[in-house]
Amino acid sequence: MSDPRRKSPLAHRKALNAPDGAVSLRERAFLAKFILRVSADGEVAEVLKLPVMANTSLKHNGSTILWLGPDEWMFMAAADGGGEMKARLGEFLGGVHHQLTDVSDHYTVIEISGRKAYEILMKLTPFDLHPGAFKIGHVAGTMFGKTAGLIINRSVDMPEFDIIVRWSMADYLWCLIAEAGREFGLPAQEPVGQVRGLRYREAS
Amino acid sequence: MFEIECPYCGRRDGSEFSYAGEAHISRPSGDEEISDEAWAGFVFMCRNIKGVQAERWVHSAGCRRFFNMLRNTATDQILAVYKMGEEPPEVEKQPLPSPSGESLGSGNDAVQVMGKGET
Ligand SMILES: [Zn+2]
Repeated sequence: MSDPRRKSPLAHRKALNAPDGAVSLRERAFLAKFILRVSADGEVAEVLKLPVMANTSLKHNGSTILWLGPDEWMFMAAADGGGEMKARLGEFLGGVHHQLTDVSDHYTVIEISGRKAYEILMKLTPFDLHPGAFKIGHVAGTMFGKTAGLIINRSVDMPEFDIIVRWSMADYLWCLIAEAGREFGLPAQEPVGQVRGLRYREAS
Repeated sequence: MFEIECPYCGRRDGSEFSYAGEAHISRPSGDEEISDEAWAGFVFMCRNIKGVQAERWVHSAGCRRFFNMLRNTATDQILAVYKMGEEPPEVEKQPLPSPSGESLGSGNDAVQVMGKGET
């Protein structure tokens, strides 16, 4: 983290762990994220290793590339890897008609892992997360409760998902997941957005 | 559960999609010279078909792409999904029974049953 004043949208939350490793919840703050819009025709897709198959992702050069649409991809890298990634993309894209947007502070990432992660998410989304349909490395935009989110299957030995959610909806989704996980031992989380709003109105 | 086939992502829950009006309506050209009537016609006047209608939809929670759909507005049956810029595919113009089992358009003579291409 280069700037100590930087505050992630879930900085007020501590990682949650249910007993027996049933499920864990944490924020992966400040990951570098860029959205690239470019036509997949020509050599761009090949040079940049863009996953052209719908709802898939690829790992390349330390960054993860997610399919968002037929001409849209997200590049994700470690918190401090943004500058380097942007420079590398710029190198290739110099002469190509494209749009590259830094969305690092538009979204944050909530990681949910553990053997009950799948059961918990099933309560929140109409999307079919069954491992037979939503395989490792797959990515999908869908609804979680009332917020839209982008989910990535990062499972290795155990179910593990990243949900990319808009900054302002992060606390809502955090509390929603905690609520859905209460039967597996996750502690209840009070949505602070509402409490803060209440204080603000009292003060004015 | 109401499912829609996104031409890019495949079959998804209907709650991920938003309706975006009638399809194949082109915006009148020559902004400043157009009469109020022409603008009103473009913005407000819809055909409101009971039967097979060409519609625009957007996969708002998924890939966020617009696409077209042929949908029977009486039964919600989706007959075809196709990409923007494509012509509507030929579908069998067969009046489907409404959810209550009556044939299309029966019960209210003021409602005109319209098929594809009819005006
Ligand atoms: Zn889609």
